[in-house]
Amino acid sequence: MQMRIPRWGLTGVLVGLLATGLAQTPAPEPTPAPPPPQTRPAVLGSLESYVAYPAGAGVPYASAPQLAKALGLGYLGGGGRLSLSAGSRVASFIVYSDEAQAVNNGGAWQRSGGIWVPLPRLARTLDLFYEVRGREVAVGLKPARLLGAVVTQSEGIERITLRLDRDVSARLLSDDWVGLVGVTGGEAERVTVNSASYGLEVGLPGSGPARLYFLPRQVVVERGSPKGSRIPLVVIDPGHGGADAGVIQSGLREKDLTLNLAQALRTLLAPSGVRVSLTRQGDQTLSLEDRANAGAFAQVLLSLHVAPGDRVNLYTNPNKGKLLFISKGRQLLPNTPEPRKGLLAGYVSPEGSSADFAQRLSEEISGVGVVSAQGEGDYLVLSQSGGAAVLAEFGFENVSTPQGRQQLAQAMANAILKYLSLAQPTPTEPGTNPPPSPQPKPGGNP
Amino acid sequence: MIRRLLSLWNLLGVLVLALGLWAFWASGNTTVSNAVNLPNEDQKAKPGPKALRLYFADAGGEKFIIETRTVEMGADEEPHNRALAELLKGPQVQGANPVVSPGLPVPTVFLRDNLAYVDLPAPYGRLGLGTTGEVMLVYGMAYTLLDFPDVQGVRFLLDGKEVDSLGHLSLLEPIRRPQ
Repeated sequence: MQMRIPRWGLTGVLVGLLATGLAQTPAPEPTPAPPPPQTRPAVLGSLESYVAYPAGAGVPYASAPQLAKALGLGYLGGGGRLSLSAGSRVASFIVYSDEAQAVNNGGAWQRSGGIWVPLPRLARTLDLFYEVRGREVAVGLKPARLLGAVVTQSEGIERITLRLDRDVSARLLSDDWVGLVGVTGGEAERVTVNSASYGLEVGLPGSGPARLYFLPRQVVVERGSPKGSRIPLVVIDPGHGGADAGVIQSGLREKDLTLNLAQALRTLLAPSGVRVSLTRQGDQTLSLEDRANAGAFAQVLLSLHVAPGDRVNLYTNPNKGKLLFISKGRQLLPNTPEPRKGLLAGYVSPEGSSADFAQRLSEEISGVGVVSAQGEGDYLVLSQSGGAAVLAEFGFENVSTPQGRQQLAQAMANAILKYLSLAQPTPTEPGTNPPPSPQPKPGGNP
Repeated sequence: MIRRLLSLWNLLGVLVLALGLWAFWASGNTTVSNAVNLPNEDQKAKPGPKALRLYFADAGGEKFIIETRTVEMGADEEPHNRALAELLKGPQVQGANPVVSPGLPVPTVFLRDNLAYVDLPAPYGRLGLGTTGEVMLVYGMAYTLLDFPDVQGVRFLLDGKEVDSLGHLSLLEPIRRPQ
């Protein structure tokens, strides 16, 4: 028997089969959405929130704006970077939109609705409390204490330095009051201390518009305009002193040689009109922190040392992004119009200034027949400097005679004057750092 | 009279008081745990040979010379402390120089949250080294410890207290592996 299939019936079967096939093929999505990241509840300070684990890696990320608000951290973004700070401690991250890249490079992650940062790295850099309790992550400020207050007057500037046992965030509440975040106690003479929900409120002596900045374990409030700020300040630090004799060789003490060199250098610089200040005038014991503070706002800081041998080592501190006000100042310097540029230049020098100054020193020192080498290291005395800062370590053989010291003092004076006349009119272009030196670089590859 | 004294409530009261006194006595005898974390079982190396990478100075104090030294570990020996003890014994390879002056006591190492705390005895604060000597001492010890997979940073203490510097280098932050 022959079956007869009508044409419309065959078409119907074909359409039916096609429809079945289409139904079994998954519909293409316009943009494949990544699976939502795994999350966990978190407590940021006292704020209940959550952390996310981008790319399924085991690194918890938290919202940077939420963290900044909850813990009172400084927040600075722009140019593909994000910095969070607690006092002088700064955690700086490159921002990635790709979550896997962010995790692999320890960077920040740009999500819809804000930038997120890796909590372990942030906690380590800012010295925060960080704990994973079962399913919950907790991050907070470690308690800090106020240890004392020092008020100083210098060249038209009044500085109130609050010393603490760790780095803290602070805000100026008014010209007379500063709020210290996470500070649970302590007292100090010359200031008034009140407890507040977030920490301590400190009433400051004096009056007038106040500025706030941070140094390691210090909060500094400054008032007044620097007199003669257009005249560069050179701070010379004769290394060691008092109870600390430094290296002793053949009866010669490092502390005496450095003071002698510093005094000779001051005499040579006097006719030029630059302001010259020595961190110590005689045989006094002085902490490295006090020396660093003395050079914090100098255009040139030169710390003098002597070690066995006949070579000169010139060290700079890379100090990249460690002090937020210096990095921010350097960022702003090229585009700031006068007269504010002049004021800003009194606090920070352009990027690469220390390396430029070290290069000047090297040239002048080799001019008197002494070989020098340049290196980098995390030297404490240079760590707070906004200007050009170099630690120069001479060999005993270079400075054991008065003639040798005079020659080297003259070389240093020439380098300082050449650096200052070059440094002032034009900001240094990036990439002017000299190539890496063969000298030991603490923190570099062994 | 005796029956009134031995009422149920009085007996219960005496029992609670006795329990309270016992709890007070027991807590008074409890040994308070040390502030410093003693090495746990994981930190202790298995007895037997262990290869240590020790960082010594070259003749010019410009770079490190790494000596791999195989030592026999004791049953209760802690490898980080042993590494520093071996470093202080000085190098056995030619051309390498000690990073620590002979005769100085061996520092103690504690490990907490992958951070090694090196407690330098008081004489280390009076060495009067130049920058090169100080760099070699601090980074020689730090790099030796950073070669252990469980050490991510090295923080130095002097005589049990936090220290800013031994003279030149900042010791405020832990030293970490070079990036």
